[in-house]
Amino acid sequence: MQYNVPIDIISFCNTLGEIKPMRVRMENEAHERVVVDIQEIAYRKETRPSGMTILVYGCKMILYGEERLVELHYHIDTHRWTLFRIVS
Amino acid sequence: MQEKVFFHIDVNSAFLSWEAAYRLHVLGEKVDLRKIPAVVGGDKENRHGIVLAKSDQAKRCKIHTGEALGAALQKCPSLTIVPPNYEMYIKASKAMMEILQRFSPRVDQYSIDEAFIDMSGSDLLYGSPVSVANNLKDMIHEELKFTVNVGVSCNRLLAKMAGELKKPNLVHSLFPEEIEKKMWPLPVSELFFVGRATEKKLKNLGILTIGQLAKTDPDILKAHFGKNGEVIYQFANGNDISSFFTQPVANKGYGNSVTTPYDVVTMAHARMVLLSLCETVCTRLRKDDVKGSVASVSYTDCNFTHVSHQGIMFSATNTTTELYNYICKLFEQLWDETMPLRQLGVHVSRITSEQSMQYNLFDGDRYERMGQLDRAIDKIRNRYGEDSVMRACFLNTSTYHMQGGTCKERRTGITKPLA
Repeated sequence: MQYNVPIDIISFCNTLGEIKPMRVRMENEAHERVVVDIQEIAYRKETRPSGMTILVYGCKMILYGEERLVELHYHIDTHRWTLFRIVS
Repeated sequence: MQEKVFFHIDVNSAFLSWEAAYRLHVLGEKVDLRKIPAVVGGDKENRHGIVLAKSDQAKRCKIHTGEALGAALQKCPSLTIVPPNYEMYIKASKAMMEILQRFSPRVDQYSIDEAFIDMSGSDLLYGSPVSVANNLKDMIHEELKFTVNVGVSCNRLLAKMAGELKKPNLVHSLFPEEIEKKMWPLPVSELFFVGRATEKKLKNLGILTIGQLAKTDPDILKAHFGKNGEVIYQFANGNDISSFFTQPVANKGYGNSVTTPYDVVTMAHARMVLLSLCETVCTRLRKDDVKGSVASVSYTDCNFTHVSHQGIMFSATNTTTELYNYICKLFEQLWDETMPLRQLGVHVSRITSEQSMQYNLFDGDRYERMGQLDRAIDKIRNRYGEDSVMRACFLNTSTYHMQGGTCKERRTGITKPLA
């Protein structure tokens, strides 16, 4: 699978200013739109490579029929979400 | 008295490191630019192709910063060239300064990728300076994913010299007792304030290392280099004359030049380019409230031959139209419209801040009104942006109306303009 794919997201923002991704919509290899629910957020952290603030979410979701841990990136500067990589 | 401690922080091949960190951690690319022969270089289409930053691998192929991209490619055909992204560099620079602020309130940004911080009196708070410097370096690497060199010493000059010692990702200390061991064996060209011209002159005097310079009689240096001799002598001995970091010297001349995207072959096109340069030069003159009376025009033709011609104007001026008319006169004497030109330049010198003006019997009144017009235009541009007003002749042409100087994307607001 290709890395750093742009994705659509439905997220939940709470009163503390935290953002919680809930549902992902993306294009698969056959150029079909697929919608995937996020089962669990395993971890979250913030990185700032070269000054770009990125929120990193490790999310468990069902991809290709099995549960996988994927890393979603939220780019604060551009307000874009990407599926950065599949961890396992 | 309490001992002073200064850090000098310098990003290792800044533009390339930032680009590499961005590509690895934001774009998710697999290749680390720092580990392959790679350079960050200007855009080829506009012929501004020079090397802005290089990786260590590229350095090993003897590629220098400032070299033409074509020449660099010849030295290393497998070279990866990436275009610069100044917006990102500014963000990276600001993020680094923010981390430095956590260590000390006195952060003095020296350029886009360098800063001094004053850590005097922090040893009770943080521990020994060298261990703090190591923490700082690791923190920047951890958070921002690029490497820096930190120089530690008791004044800014020595801290800067220490930061230049061995790269990358290292901390060096250079306290006065270490000068003899660490700084003196280095070649003079490594010394701050010694450029290529000074290096050559020193070489003729038989001075090759900083140690030799430090032991030379300052009077000999003064005789050869004037006031600068005293400065480099003090620097070689590790004495910081801090005013050199802060006090700007008045400009002796104001010039701008531009390499055009395609060769200039007609007088009409050349005049337009010259007008746009005069506009920039005169705006700078007016901003500093000075006038100049010697105008000079220069060009580089397609064979890279550089020619210039200068003359003294009737009276010192900073009026765009007046300078332009004179520059055109000089240029017509200089260029015969046969050779295609790639670069044009306008320079004004013999600067005075006197406000008086020698009137010419025939057009004095006109130039005074032109001066008023220029001042009004400057005000509008200051308020609404440089492109808010421009001469009609630039409409629907490829020539930008204020050429020369740092291109717009590069004006970061961090590196202070010389003007």
